[in-house]
Amino acid sequence: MPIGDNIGGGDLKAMFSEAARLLSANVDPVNALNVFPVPDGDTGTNMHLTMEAVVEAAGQVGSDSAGEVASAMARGALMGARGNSGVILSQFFKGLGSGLGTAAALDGDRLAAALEAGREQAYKAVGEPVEGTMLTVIRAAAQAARKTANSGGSLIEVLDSVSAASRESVALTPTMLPVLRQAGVVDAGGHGLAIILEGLRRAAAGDDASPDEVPPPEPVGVGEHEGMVSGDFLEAAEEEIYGYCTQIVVEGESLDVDGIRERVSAMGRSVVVVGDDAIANVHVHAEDPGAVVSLGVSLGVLSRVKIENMDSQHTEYSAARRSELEAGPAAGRVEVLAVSSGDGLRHVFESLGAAAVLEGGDTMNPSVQDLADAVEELESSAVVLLPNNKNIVPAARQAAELASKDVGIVPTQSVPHGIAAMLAFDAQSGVESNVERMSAATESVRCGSITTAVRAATLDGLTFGQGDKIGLLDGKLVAAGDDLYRVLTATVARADPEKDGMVTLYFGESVSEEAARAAADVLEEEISGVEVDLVRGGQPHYHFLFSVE
Amino acid sequence: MTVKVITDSTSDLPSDLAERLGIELVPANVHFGDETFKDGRDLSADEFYERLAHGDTFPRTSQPSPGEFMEIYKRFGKDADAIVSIHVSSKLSGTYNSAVQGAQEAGDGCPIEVVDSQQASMGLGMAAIAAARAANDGSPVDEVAATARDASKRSVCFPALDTLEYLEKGGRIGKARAMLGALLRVKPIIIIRDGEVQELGKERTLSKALARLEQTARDLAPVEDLSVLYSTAQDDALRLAQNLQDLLPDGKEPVIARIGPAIGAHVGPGAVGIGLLRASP
Repeated sequence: MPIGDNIGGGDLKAMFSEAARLLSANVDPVNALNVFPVPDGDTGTNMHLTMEAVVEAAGQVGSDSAGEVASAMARGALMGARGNSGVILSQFFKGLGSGLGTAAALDGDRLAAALEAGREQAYKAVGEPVEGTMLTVIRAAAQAARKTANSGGSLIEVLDSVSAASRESVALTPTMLPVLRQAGVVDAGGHGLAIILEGLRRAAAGDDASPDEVPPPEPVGVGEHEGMVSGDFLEAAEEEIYGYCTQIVVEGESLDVDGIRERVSAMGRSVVVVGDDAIANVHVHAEDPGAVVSLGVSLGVLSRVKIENMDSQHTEYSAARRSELEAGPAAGRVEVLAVSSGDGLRHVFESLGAAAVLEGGDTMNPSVQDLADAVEELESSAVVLLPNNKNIVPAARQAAELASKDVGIVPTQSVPHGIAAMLAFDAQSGVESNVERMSAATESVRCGSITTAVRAATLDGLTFGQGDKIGLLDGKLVAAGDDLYRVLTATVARADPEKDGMVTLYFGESVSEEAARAAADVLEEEISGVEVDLVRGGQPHYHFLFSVE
Repeated sequence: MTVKVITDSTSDLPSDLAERLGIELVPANVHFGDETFKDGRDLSADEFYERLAHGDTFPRTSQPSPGEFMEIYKRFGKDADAIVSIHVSSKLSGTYNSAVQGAQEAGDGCPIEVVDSQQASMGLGMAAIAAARAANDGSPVDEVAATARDASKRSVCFPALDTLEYLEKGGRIGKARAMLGALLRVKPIIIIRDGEVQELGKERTLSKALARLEQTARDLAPVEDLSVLYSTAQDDALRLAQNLQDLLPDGKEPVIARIGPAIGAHVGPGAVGIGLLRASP
């Protein structure tokens, strides 16, 4: 049943409880959109809880005055505001409350006025208003309301236009806010507000046929490639977003707030001027903040001036994205090429930030050409190369000379060595400082391996038969025998792990996960105080590779 | 002139020290599902870490509402000539925004300066201590606020974590995101820089991580004030404090701070760190 055109507090309460209910049905999808300003995924929850406080406060009003209900809602929002989005919402309600004042009933025109007051209050609420957020949606809603009301629209017609305009402006939020473009989503708070406004519309129109799910509109300005933006769009957006966020507070006598607003409007966009005849708070995005300040000085005493370059965030993003478009994403960064074999080890290197892993190892040393080609294939012109085997180090050095790029070599003797080096890698520093840092990180790390002897021999004072297990530590044979676990334990023990030492055990393709787990348990039992980090290496030939640090 | 210094519970300032310096701590909210607790008031650190370890709901945190700030400003505005309210980085939390709104709502009675520290935990705590000392010396409000801003720029906070899991779940991982997904067990070391979480490095073992913290503190010398913070590993914190005693001017002791629920929800158990105030250049 649609409401009439002049409603009291009771209908207003009913409309906001429907809005709160609709929002509560959409909390999770709103949470999922959340990337700005803190990607903590609870914008929907925070707005929902703030709305609950609003509805509860409204419920305590006995009278049927729309104005009284609105001011109760404003108080409820102020005390119950949760999260950034809740705080902006509470300011919006404060504006609604003061916009309605003591009016007993609400019609289209009063609703427009209240939304306009809500917009002013919400913009005032944030130190540096950011477009592409809930604020933008509030602004669009107020604008649409005013337009419809001025052309004689009824309350329901005003709400229709408000809901449609807010949804459109949600779709546009990625065109204004770089983080949304990057993530390829619309603004969570904006969408939450659009749901609230849609709830008001449904309640007023008696629309109970529309589904509870209100999916977010398709983001506009986002390219096909996962939230990436085209160069054309950047240019268009640069014309849109410009200037300095300028805020001044003027104190004087018989100030004319409307007159100031008119003059400031000629100086820029997003103009908000509030105050009374003694103090005026001016906010504008102006190309020339000096003109705004001069105006302030001519009117009275400036008690506060704040000027911020709004372009900085946008231009930073633009510049970064441009250089990506021009030179590929890795330009200017250092990339790591590691030599290793086994899919598990490959994943370990990649998870630590290696750009590429070249298959190779003991029985398959890559050639100088292989190494040089792999270096050339990387996107960056600055490369750190980890040979991860003492026999590959010389080839790596030659490849570095062949390559047209700036190549640094950390002469890692084994794969676990290379992983220790990788942990100290910092993509933001240069090749030379990385080589220094990564080399230092390998110094205190001892590495070993367990394999099967292919023939009987006596080496380093140890005698073993064909098929025996042998353990090497830092390239030197230290244990031999027919029991894999015993050889492993003896080899690791020779590394003399410290009390809180970490043994990283990479098990090879010949070892089942179960057997590997058993080996880790044996190590932790036999060598007191060590912690074993068991990782699937998938390497050939070596049952186990390990590092002790 | 009496200037009241107010901060929030994400500063991890020990309550006895706050009381001695006359600093008011506004509690952040900690939520386990539908249950809401006031950080440090109706949820102690011990109870919190117990629930964190054994509970199945992941805690969330939220800033005090503007209305709560308004009430606190009104309460302290009665006896103080001015208030300096310094808070956790606006890039990590809406607390600063809430405080600014609360200050506006509180009206014209008592002037209120709200400062965004761009820091968290004892990085913020150190700045609040410096501001409170200025206030207790009888400095006027401008100077106290200037001290708060200047100390915020000189303070740093860098904890070693047991895991990045909590930081990621709470959405505050920032530029330390690159450390996620390592297939190895590592102790991530993070730092609050430019108001957000960044990576300082990663170590394989606790002793290496502690050594890294110690070395980083030494690299930042000369130091004016220093604190060691921990979520559950008190012994490690005490040892670190002892090792770093020589960095402080004579007669000064490192502050030992327990990481409270609001920050603890993001760093998790086993976190040990340092918050320090570099000496003025």
